[in-house]
Amino acid sequence: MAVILLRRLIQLVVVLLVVTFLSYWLINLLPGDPAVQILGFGGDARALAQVRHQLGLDQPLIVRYVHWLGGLVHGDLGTSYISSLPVGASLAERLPVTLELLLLAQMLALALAVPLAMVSARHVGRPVDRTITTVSFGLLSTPVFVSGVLLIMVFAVDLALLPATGYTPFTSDPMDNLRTLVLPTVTLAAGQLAVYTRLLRSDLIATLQEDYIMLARARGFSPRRIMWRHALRPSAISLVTAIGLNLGALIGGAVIIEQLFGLPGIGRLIIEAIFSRDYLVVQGGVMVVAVGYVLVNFAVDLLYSGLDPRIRRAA
Amino acid sequence: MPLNRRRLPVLALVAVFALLTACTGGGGGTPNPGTSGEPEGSPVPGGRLVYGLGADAAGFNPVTDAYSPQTYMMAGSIIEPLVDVDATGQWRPWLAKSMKPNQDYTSWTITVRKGVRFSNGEQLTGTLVKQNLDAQKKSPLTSAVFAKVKSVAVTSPDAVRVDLSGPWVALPYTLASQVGMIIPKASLDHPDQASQRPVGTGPFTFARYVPGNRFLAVRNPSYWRKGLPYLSRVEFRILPDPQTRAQTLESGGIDVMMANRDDDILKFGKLPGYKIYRAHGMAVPEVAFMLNTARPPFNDINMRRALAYATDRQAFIKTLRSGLTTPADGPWTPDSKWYVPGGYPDFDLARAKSLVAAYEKQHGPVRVEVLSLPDPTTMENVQLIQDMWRKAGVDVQIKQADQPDIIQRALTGNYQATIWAQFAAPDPDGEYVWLHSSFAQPIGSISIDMSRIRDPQMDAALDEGRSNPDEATRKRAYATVQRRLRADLPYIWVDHLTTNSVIAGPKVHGLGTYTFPDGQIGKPLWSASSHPLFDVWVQE
Repeated sequence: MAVILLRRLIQLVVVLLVVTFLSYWLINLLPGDPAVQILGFGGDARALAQVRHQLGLDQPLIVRYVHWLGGLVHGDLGTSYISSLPVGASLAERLPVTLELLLLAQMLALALAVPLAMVSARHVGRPVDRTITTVSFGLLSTPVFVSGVLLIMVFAVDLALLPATGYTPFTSDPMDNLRTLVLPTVTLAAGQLAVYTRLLRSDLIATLQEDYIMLARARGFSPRRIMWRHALRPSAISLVTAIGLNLGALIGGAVIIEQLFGLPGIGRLIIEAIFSRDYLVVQGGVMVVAVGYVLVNFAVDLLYSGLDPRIRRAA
Repeated sequence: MPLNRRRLPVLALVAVFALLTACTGGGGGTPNPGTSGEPEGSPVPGGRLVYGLGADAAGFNPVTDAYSPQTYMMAGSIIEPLVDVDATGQWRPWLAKSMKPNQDYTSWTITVRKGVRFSNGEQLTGTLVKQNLDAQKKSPLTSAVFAKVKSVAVTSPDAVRVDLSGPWVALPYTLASQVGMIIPKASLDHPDQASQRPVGTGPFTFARYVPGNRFLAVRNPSYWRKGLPYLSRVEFRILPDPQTRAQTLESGGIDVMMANRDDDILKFGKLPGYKIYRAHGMAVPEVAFMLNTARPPFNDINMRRALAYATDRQAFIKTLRSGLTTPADGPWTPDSKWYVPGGYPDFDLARAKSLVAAYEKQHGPVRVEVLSLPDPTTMENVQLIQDMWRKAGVDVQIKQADQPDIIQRALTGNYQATIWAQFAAPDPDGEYVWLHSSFAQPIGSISIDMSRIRDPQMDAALDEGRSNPDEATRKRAYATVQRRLRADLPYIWVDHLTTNSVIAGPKVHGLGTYTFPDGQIGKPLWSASSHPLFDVWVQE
């Protein structure tokens, strides 16, 4: 276990170095200048030079990157060029919003996908299976900005049951927090639900053909017990893998959701920072996402051994 | 230029492209501008107003942070300017009690009101005004605005004298913007803190700001205008998506919103109880295509003329604005006192084709790259123009670029043509820097005159308008500016963007008018759709 942890730690450092350097390099390749963003059109050449100097933008890219890394080691992610706020504080403020959204969306998607996949796998080819499959394809092919607007139209405008936009922190008012997150969560979870249902259904169908399942049936175990206790665990490997890999897609979806529902999350922060060439905020945001991605996939790797003893023994 | 009544000319274009996304199309039905002027009963004190904005501020310090329309709404509820612009387009004192020029307008004496205090207890004095103006002159953000200001001297406890390097009759209009907004000494001493926690003399005081989410201000109980404001608190919510912002208004999640889509004007115009306030007069920005007159093919006046003839403004408005706007032929609207008609090429495809053919005979095929933001609404605008210009024989390619890229290209001259929205200063002098050749630089250098037009007649007229206090003379000067713009054609005008608006729900009252301290009526809103909130009240 210690070896795995060490290996993962080294991997995390390498990934972070590569990702942060690439993102730093790429955003600096974009045409446009933070100094122009700060001064607007009011800045003459002298004022622009002054601001660039103040921000350190007159230094070579690699020098700025190394300087940023040095700050990172000391826990300092720099200061936003635009808002003058510490990047770390901005990320800390936005991160809980995105984490909560992602977590709720994953939980909802999984809570619905597992039973739906089981029903579908148990009744392959029957109307219930075909209905679930069709609905899954429908959800998969509906972009989040369409489903989000439709949900707002129905539940906020027509039925006036839920707020259309906005965000209340959990610490301020837990109930209001959940109310503001219902529509974004459902919108984001819809696509994931379809993917997970389809994936688990196929694996369950294959598992249900295995000899040990036939044996369980012969021993008179109930279909529910066979499904939950014997078929689900070995069928969940692909599902768990997908959960880890889907994190990237989920963050991508969260960016749109945050924009659509006015949620002050990290996705929106990164997008706004890209458009204003706020390099250090982009850098900090990308780093947080990269760390999250590596950590989640590490957790997925650990889950494999829990799900399948053969993997544990091999490790 | 989508700025508001407190507009800072040299900063205005920061918001240009945000506004361009407003150049939306679509929608049918009957337009109902509903610029409400009906009596709304007696004001009811108390209550909360929730206001939807499309973007967050980049900081609230008027000395160090570029103000967007949204910043003006949020910070403007707390920080006040020395002067403001009334409903007739004239500047009037606000925090200043008076502002008087010397005989040749080379210096102005500003006297501030006595007894005005900031919410932190500091008093408004002449010394503080000097400190503010000095800070603005030093700030890289705003120093260009004050290039003409030589010095500021305190002449009495309540007064300062601003000495200029030459006559400047329109200085008060400049002080009606970000550079004339006065903050206390504590904010000047701690600019970073002032960026996040604005302090001012205004009707509301800062309560809370969550970046990207909301900004909360509460009633200032010791506001110097007695009995105001009516609202107990005002909350601004940042809702970037225009469609969901409109849905939130419809569902009652917010009470008012800034809008710029014709779809919203049409939709809420039909819903009972909703009031729509649209920008008009000098406050209205113009949508145009800015041409780089220093680069081929638009260094040739005949090619610029060809595009003007090829642009069917009426068809554009009918197709993409639901007929809600009016065609533009210059930087000022026909309802402005500065406007003069005539001289702009009307749509004439045959003449456009012939001019293009003549140019091609001499220089070969014409290929033009037009810059556009990548969002669908701006792209619609550019694609329709692309189609019109192609019909005249110009091979038009659209290059998508994001805002910082377009800004950079415009400043350095690395473009041929770009979609643009500008010209909403309350006084024509506000457009000086964009049009005067002293601000034009060669390609590759930063040029605030981004079309790089150089016209001695226009320069002379702009100088006359800036330095001569006689209104009739100024009108003649700015008539010359318009005629020269129509002759030189650095901009291919499209329309006056009167779709900039504020839409209020049924419970919101008093938004349509506001009064100056002397009782004069102010404009409901300016180009950026911002407006004061001290006389707004809510009642179910």
